[in-house]
Amino acid sequence: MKKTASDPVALSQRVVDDNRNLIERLSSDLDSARSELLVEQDRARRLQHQTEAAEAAASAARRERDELLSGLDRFRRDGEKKTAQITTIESQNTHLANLYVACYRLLGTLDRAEVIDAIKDVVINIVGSEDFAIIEARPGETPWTVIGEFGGRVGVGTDIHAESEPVIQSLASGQPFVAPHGDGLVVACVPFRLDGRVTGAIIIFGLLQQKARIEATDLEMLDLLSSHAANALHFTSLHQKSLHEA
Amino acid sequence: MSATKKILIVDDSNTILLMVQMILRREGYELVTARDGADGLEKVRTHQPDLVLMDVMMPVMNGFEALQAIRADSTIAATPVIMVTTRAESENVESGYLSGCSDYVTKPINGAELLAKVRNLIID
Repeated sequence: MKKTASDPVALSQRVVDDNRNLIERLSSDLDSARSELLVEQDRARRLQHQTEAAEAAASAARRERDELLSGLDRFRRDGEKKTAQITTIESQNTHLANLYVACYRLLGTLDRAEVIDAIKDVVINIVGSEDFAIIEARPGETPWTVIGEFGGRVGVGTDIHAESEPVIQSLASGQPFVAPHGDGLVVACVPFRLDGRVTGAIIIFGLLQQKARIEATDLEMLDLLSSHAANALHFTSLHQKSLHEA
Repeated sequence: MSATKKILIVDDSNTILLMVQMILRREGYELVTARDGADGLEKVRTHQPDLVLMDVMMPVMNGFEALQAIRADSTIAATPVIMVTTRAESENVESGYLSGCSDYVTKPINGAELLAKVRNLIID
């Protein structure tokens, strides 16, 4: 008897064969999928390691960058500090140079006119005033005589009386007077002191436009003028006297 | 090592000459001095300084006149000149720049400021 498509045995056999083929194909696909999964898992692990390594490197780089920035900031601050120190030292050097120059100018001559010019030069160029008078006491007389000036406020040779209360006090005590805010008629009065006596003074009526006030370094300069100008003027008198006697 | 730079100081005040010399000599500059504008102009020509510090108010020839003469002479016209003035009024500063000054300082001279301006204009 010939087998037909409707033969149940053949049909059953074909179904079994198809199933086997399907199972084999599925099994093969499963194996492939497992292999691919293993490969992917391996790749994922590698990527994970690479990511961790990259994150560690990035973290190290960030730390290094922070350290460099911190170092740079420290370096910048040190630089600024050193620049400020250099500026301070240069200012101190200038001040010392000014004091030296003032002494050198005041005591470098026995000529009275030159001493007065030196005092004027120091007040103009170091203290910073073009409005002042230099006065001197005349022994036994009350008025003060103007022996030098700049700014044309009072004439040389004029006898003047101190009218401003701070100036009167300064001349009486021998202590320099500096107006607190640089205002008023008199900015500063610097008495010349010799053996405890006031022999003269510099009266500063105004400072140069660009100079706002009398600074601490100016006070040292004025103090130096107070004693050295008195000495210098006294030496010129002694010199004149010795020349006259000779 | 660069050659010593030469600076000409032109001022009729002995105090300023002494003071500026003390400030600049410490820096190793070679210094030449002149007492008025005419003397200064002559010394710019003969000494060919790298920089001139020029006072404004001087006898014989003032600082502005000397500066104009320097700028008009092609052999020395490029010399940097710092004007030293007692006044900071804008017209005085403007006159200086119109005459061709490179920079200016006002009296009383601030040593640190002067050194900074000198260093800025004297290139090693």
